[in-house]
Amino acid sequence: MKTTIKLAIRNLLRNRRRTIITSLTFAVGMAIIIVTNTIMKGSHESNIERAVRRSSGHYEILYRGFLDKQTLYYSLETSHVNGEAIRAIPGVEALLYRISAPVLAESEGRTRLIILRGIDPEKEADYGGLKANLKSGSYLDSGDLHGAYVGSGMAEALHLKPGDPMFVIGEARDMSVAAGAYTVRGIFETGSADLDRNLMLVPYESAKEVFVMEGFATEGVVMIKSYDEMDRVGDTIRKLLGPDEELVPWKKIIPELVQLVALDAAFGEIMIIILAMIAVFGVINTLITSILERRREFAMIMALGAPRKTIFQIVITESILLTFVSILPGVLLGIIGSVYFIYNPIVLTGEAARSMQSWGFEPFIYGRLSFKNLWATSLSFLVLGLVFSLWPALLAARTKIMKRLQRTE
Amino acid sequence: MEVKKMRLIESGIKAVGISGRFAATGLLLLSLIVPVTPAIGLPGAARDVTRDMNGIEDVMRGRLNVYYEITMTVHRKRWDRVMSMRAWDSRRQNASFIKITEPARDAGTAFLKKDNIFRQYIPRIKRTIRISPSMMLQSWMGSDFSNDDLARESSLTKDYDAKVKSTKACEGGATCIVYALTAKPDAPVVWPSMEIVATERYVPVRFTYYNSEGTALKEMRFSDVKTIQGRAFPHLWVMKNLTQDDQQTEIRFHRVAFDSEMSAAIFTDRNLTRGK
Repeated sequence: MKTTIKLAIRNLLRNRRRTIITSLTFAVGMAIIIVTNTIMKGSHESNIERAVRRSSGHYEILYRGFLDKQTLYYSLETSHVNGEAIRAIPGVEALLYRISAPVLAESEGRTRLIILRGIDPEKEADYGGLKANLKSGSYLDSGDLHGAYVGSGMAEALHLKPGDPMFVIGEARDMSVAAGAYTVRGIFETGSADLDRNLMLVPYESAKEVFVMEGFATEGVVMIKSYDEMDRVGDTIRKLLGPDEELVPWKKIIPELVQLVALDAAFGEIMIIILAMIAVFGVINTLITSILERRREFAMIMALGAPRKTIFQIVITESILLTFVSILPGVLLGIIGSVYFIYNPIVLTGEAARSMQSWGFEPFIYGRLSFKNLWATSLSFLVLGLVFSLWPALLAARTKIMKRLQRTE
Repeated sequence: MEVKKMRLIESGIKAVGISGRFAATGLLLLSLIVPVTPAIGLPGAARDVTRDMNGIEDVMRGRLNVYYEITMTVHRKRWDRVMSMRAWDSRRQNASFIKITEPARDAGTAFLKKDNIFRQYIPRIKRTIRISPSMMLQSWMGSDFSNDDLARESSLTKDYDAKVKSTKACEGGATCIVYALTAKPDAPVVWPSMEIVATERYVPVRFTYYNSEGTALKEMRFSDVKTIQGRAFPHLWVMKNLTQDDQQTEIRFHRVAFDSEMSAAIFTDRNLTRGK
């Protein structure tokens, strides 16, 4: 056994170029899988997280009936929600009240049906406030009750720029006419066509007045620090709610996103499998080539009395060593590639971008590297490496002694 | 992702409708029906049903015009909303005008129906909105009255074939006649059929509105009959939504004046946009 390992190491060192090339093939194959996984996961999770954080939040506290009817009549009575207790639950990042209602927006004779959303400009800056997406003008100011922050698509459709007046009209909670006059303060662009075209943000106090919502909100949005804590936090919140309120997870509020996520995940898996096959066959190809090259050498050793079993053992040991040696550079290469994509998102253009945007996603793919990605890829390559090293080892052990020795190469 | 909410919006656009330069929820309150001849009751099938229908319309809208001051209470499970308004309805000029006087939030909101065009003025944003014909089924100011119920174009005589179904005794000992109304083919009406109960003196007691499947959806009950200018007029109208529990709208009449001088200046844009 010791001799076998010694011989295998010597063999590997003897033809360093071949060893390095094989090892590199292996490492690069691994890195490709790791990076692909990073991008897949990133496009997935960061998009979900982004979409969730700036739309429904992880959970919404709603008045029963609102989910079906979606009218202000089914508004949530904020005094019925124990906000203090909910905010105190570990893992809860924020509880924010919003007033969202469909309205008709008008500016100089142009009209468009949109969602007007009243938010707390300060508290929501990083969430539904979309402060980071400011394109022109300025962000909302809670003291400016007639200030509006509108999406770029809407601004374009209504020919709005910062400073322009606009009007909205809709139905208030008591079903009277809700009407408001606003001045565009800023325009945001999220890259999500849905938000950019259809969302208009105003200070909460303003929406409260327009829609007769004193003491009411359409939704209480709960943001959770870590996704893994969703279930636990949700159970705790539910215990704090009265019979008229319900806690609804984002998956139920935006089921379109769930479907998209599932579709995306399925495509991702298929792609990973294809890539893994390409990488593995690349490695096998290199290994087999190196074995075919050495058939004369194996024949010679066998002619000198080495049993086929020994050849088999040596070659498989070589492959195993090579696999082990390649994993570390593979992981390193994978991390380097992943880090690149974490900081340099892939920007989609054309049709792909439009399709992403139409789903409310940004047309960027950010990487997201997980520890699981690293160890799972390493482990699967290790297993694949071991399983597939049987083939070149068998090939080596079956070398026809006479045929190989007769040839002068 | 606001997809769901956007769908809502799309249905909202139907509710809101877009026409002219702007659009809105809500519409003209007002009036019901056509001309009149005073009547003498004949029992059952021997009655001149057309004359009866005219008589009922006459009681409700006056022969030439009617002016009234009313309080409308919209009742929902979660709230009640009370609005006061003044209304002018001129059958001669085929025009009507409503101005909301209370609450302060809605005061100055006005509705004008003239030349078959319906418009609403919203003082808060100083905008006039045209309400398109497609919105006639929508609720008027969140009440159980639809735009069509109140700013109605349709006429009991012109758009419906009426026949006497039965007679029965009404409260107070009066004899009531039950009429079955079926919309004429191609009549531009919301309700395919109606049932009307009225006294022999044409005082309406109950209107029931049916859909095409024959299911009763809404019902208006008239009560508190008082005599105005020598004629009986119900001072409390309650429209009940039969498909929803605990949902109705009540109209209480405080002042009613029939066939008075009604200036054409009432039915003008200028008056519409005057505000409070």
